[in-house]
Amino acid sequence: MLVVGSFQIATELEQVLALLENTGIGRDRIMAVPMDIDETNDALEPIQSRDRKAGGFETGMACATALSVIGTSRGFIWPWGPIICGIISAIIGFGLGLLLHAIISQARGGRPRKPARLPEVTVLIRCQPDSVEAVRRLLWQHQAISVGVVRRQDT
Amino acid sequence: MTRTTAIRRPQTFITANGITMLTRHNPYVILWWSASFPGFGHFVLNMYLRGTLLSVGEVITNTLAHVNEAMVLSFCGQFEQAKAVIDPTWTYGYLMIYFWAMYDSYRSASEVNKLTRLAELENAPIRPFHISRWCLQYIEIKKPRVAAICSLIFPGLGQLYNHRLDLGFWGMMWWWIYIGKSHLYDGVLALINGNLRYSTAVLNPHWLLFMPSVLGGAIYHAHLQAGDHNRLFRLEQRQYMTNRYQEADIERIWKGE
Repeated sequence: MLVVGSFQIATELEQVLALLENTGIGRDRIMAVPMDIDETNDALEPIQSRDRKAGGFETGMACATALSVIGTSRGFIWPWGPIICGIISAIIGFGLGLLLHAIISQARGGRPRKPARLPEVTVLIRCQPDSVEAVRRLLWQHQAISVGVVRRQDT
Repeated sequence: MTRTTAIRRPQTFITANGITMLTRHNPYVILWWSASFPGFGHFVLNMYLRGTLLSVGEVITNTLAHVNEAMVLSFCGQFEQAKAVIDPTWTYGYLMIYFWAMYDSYRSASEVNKLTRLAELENAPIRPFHISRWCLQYIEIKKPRVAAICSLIFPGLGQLYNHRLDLGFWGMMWWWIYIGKSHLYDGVLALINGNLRYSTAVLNPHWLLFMPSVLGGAIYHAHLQAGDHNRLFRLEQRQYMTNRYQEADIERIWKGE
């Protein structure tokens, strides 16, 4: 029988494969396939288009730092003092950065949000009918996203 | 298929001190961090030696030229005083190095992006683990938010969270210097006790003005690097899976023995 599991890339995935090997299911009966979860893994994509896009947090931090320098300086003459003015301007800057990022990514046609856990690796395990349940349980215990069994006797 | 064993561009280098890696950047963001604090753009690019020396140079020449005091006075509209406080002996060199650091980090970011892509296509084996007399180092899944919070509470801790020992302790040492010279925490304590006038008076503008950039830069760097570690972990595990678990006979997997 064939047990199929999908996993997120994680140390747990290596653990489950190491455990399977130690319980006598050899590497000749296991296959792990790393899956592309993003079409930009395309090897033919031109190099220039692969500059990193600045994320919301990054834009926020950049704007927070800029405004905080000005706010701290102005704080020496503003009534609330440099510390409070610095903190408030940093928070306002962070908010402005997030807003700016949201507007820009909206204008560029924002990509849909991905779920937190993606099936990044598919594992195929050929095993005897009496060990199917044990293997299935082992996969679930190691944070498998989904597990399926092909119950077909061909030997 | 012929395979050459010589690696042209490794994607990572792991030592007791941490992981240095080739990774993609946004050149404009790098440019901004160099403007915020010369050397910080280079830190983000994993060019640690350049970053360290440029940032030390920034602190020394800024202090000699009184740039930060002039900035505070300018932002407060006191331009005559700003002109009086700045020391022309050190200002020209300060400005040239400041702009050069911005230019160099921008230029390097674009080039590093191309090299990163080439290294990805070459896909040289990534070493995920280092064990030696002084240290244990490994690539793991990290939480960028936790890294950011670590550097928010004390710059350098986020870098330690990312297992970057030199920059972590270096950043902490400098934050201690800024605390000592700026009297920031004395000011905060005075604020908590409701003594606003004393709080403003006790602060040293020159040393205080380094702090927003250092704090912001440390948070940004920790957040970004934690994400880069996760990318690296994925690349390495993909390599491992492909090498170790794809030797099985596909017919045997499908049909059984």
